[in-house]
Amino acid sequence: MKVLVSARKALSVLVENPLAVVASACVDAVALVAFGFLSQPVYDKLVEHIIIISTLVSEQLRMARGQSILSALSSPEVAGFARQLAWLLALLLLVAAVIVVVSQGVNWAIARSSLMQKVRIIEELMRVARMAVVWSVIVALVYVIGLLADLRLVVISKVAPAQAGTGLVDVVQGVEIVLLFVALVHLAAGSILAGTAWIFQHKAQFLGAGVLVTSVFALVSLLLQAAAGLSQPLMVPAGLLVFLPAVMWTRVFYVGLVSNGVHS
Amino acid sequence: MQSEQADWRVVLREVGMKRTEIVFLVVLLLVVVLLVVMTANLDLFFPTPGPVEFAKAAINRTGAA
Repeated sequence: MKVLVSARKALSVLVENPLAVVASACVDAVALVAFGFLSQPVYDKLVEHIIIISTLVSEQLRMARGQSILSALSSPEVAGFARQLAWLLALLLLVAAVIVVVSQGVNWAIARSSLMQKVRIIEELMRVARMAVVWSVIVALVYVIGLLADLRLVVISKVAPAQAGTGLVDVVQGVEIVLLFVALVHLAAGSILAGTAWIFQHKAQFLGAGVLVTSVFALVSLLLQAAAGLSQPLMVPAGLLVFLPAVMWTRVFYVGLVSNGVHS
Repeated sequence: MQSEQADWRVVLREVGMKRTEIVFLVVLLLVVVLLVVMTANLDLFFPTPGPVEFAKAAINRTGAA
């Protein structure tokens, strides 16, 4: 019930504060463009390394049958590229972390101030930065597991295509979605400890909020697909008009839900 | 020297920022500059063999030549 009340309240806050919605959407749009500019060269280099590593590993597996993927990865020929891959991942993570700290710091401050909470942008930036340190480790672990799952799938589909299944890749994607909702609660609560405590104390609300936000974004995705069906160039303005306010709504909704005394 | 430090404290207090906040902002700016420089010069930091070199190395490894 509280989930729906918070959702309605967040919607009315958005309607009452169009300037905040525009500011938040601008920050998100700039962050997306900045991430694209900074991450694309790193991502290209990453793909280059993955192609080299998967070629070398599948070559070694073909030559020495029965060898495990991990032992092939640690062979001297591959190890150099694997080390560079790890550094590239760290760089990509740092790029993402810096952009997240700046954009999310500003945007969560906007979300809090539109709910009449007292907030200073610099304090919010520092709060997000503190959380980003812990979350970087979690994201790095999940990303590396996902990368290994992808690599395993590529190598198996090269060596024995009949045995290639996407089971592990699907599990990693599921974990990523759950972690996204946990991160939203942490950001809304302002600290990892307070956010985690809230999740354990309000399991039903956490689940309900997850289902609601997933439904909203499924609807947004349907709308964007419909817009793309009408006209391809219409997708960009439709995305800006629908997706970014939906992101702002999600922030206000989570701040309202998690903060005590805002709605109760 | 001491009076200069005191002046800075007064300026910080008037702006409403603590020293840790200023340090945080400076570090953030430096990291952004570092990232921009690194991503613009990736080939320098992470060299990879070109397609021809890679093919030659593969032929040497497998002995297919």
